[in-house]
Amino acid sequence: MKGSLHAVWRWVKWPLIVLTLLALVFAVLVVWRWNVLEGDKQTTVDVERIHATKLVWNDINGALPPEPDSVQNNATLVGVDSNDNGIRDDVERAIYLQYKDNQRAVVAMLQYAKELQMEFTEVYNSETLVAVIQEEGRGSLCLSDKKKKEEVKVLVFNSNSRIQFREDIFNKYMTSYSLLNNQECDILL
Amino acid sequence: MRYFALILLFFPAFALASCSSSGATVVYVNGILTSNQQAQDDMADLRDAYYNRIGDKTVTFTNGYNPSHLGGFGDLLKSIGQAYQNRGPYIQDTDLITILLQIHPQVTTQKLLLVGHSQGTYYTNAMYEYLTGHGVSKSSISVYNLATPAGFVAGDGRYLTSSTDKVINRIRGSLSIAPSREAFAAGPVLATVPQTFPDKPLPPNTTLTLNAKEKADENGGHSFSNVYLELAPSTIVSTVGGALAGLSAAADSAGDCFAAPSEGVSYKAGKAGLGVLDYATAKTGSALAFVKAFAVDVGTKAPANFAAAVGSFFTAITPTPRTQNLPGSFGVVKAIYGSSVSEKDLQELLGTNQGGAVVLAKPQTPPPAPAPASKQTSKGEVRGAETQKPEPLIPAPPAITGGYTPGFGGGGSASPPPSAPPAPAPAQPMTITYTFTAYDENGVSTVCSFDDAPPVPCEGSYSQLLDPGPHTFAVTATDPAGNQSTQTRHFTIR
Repeated sequence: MKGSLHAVWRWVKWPLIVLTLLALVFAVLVVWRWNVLEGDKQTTVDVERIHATKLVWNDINGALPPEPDSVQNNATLVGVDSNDNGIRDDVERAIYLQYKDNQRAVVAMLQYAKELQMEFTEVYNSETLVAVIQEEGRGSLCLSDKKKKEEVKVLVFNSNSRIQFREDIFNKYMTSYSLLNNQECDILL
Repeated sequence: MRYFALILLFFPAFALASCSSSGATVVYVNGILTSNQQAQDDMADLRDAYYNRIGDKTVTFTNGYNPSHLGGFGDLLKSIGQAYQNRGPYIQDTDLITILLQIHPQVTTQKLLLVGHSQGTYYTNAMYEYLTGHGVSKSSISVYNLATPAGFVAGDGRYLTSSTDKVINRIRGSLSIAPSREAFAAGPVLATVPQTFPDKPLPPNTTLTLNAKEKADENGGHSFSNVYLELAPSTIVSTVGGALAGLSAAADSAGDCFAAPSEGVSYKAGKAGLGVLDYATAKTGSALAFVKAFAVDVGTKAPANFAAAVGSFFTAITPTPRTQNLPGSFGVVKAIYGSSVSEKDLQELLGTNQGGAVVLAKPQTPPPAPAPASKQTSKGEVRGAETQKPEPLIPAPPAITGGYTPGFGGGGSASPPPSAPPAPAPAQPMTITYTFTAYDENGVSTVCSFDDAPPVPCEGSYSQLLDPGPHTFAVTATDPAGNQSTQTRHFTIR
């Protein structure tokens, strides 16, 4: 009896091992695919949030934030945003103080600054980069002033680490994309 | 049901396609050595200018992103091939397939305008060939190329190149002396095969006045946003608008606007290979900085220069000299090391009998006189790897290899005027061709003449049938400011 069981085991041993390995590989693939799909879901949620992020009056209608401590402001990519409106305090102050007599320019530049700031906070793959670029495209059209666009960029990307981070995400995630042709200005004046 | 759910996990999501007869899509393709961020800005600026001036927001702007590889070095190798590709059918290219795959879901209109800048114009030309062969009607697609190094615009589209574009001017000069495609590998049979040269860039059709910064920049006058769109916004926008207005579309279609290319094994292998190489390049970083620097240096001068360098390399390693004047390599040396290097320096450095390109501008010593030929004489073509046809054994002209560089920024010829060597063969009329390069950072026009004939406009080369006897060839280059430079060559046909 024992001998016959041994013989059977000898016959089924390798098929069982192969099947077990295949099952393991299958399980790994399922888990991997599941993670991919979950990641896609998260990306979809994040892309929707990026597109839903708009400049509203409440963001810019209060008191001007104080000038942040430069060491603290430059210690992180995101910097200091004490009024939590998605625009770094130093950028917000610089735009306002420079163009306070030109309300339309201030509003458009702040919108563009808010969109550029999302590069630090929202981009982690090609889909999120494209979503941010599309939002920046709206701000660009709303501003429609190349010189002012450059001024905002210089303010937002004001340190080597911020410039390098921008270059890195573009190198890593850049792909083909279409610009949106919906409403370009968040706040109509 | 559980099994069904598991199976579904492995299938990608899909959406129903449609191709609209209304609206239009502008696909912008950037060039190499343009940063990703600059490419983004370029298209946004084009879109903003179009919307602000035309106001038609039914037009969608799509970026057909042309990635860089190996820090730019890989793109240069590719652009050499593209320069030699000339007109022809669509050729598989990993990056081109990637662009087509990426824009495929985004193109939802039948009307398409492909706008290319710099090396991106090679892609817009190739995309036109692909798209018109894969579902896009020729009446619904057009190409508009800016600052193009290509010799044509697919579909007879429009283009805009400034005479002050230093990059294109340099490419034009280099391509005029680049070796033939056959010179890369033909070896001893080179003399017996037709020679295929790269198309020269289309001639400039505008002159944009550069600001001080662009004037000072070695590669100035080439930027899409900062030069072309900045200085000629009306021209560009109206051309885009006119091209779009000239397109027609059929009824709405439920299918895709074009058939996406196949992601076959070769494509996936190419993409994976490029990915690995790019990753290695990125990781090695500074170790490969010299590659990047070299790429930028040579690339901004002219991809064809590199081709010429490769051609010279092949010449150098060929045991038996197979050509008497393979031009191009001096152009490379000069491009890389600057115009302070003269051809004479190079000859002194390498010796006077290096074969191939080194004898580029040397007077050609005629071979021993063979039997008299009845009619055709040898052609003094400088722009080829082989200037003498093997069949008619007739004396070579005494001095017809005048690849020299008059002009204002390119340095002059170093070769002395040739003397008249003995040539005992009976005198015959000969077709003499001079090839030359005239370069100026702001563009240049040239006129040529033999002897006392009135000068006529010429570009790159000039030929004429001449009787035996002494002759003079003259080429005069004039820059936009009116400065002139004249080079002459004296020779004798015996």
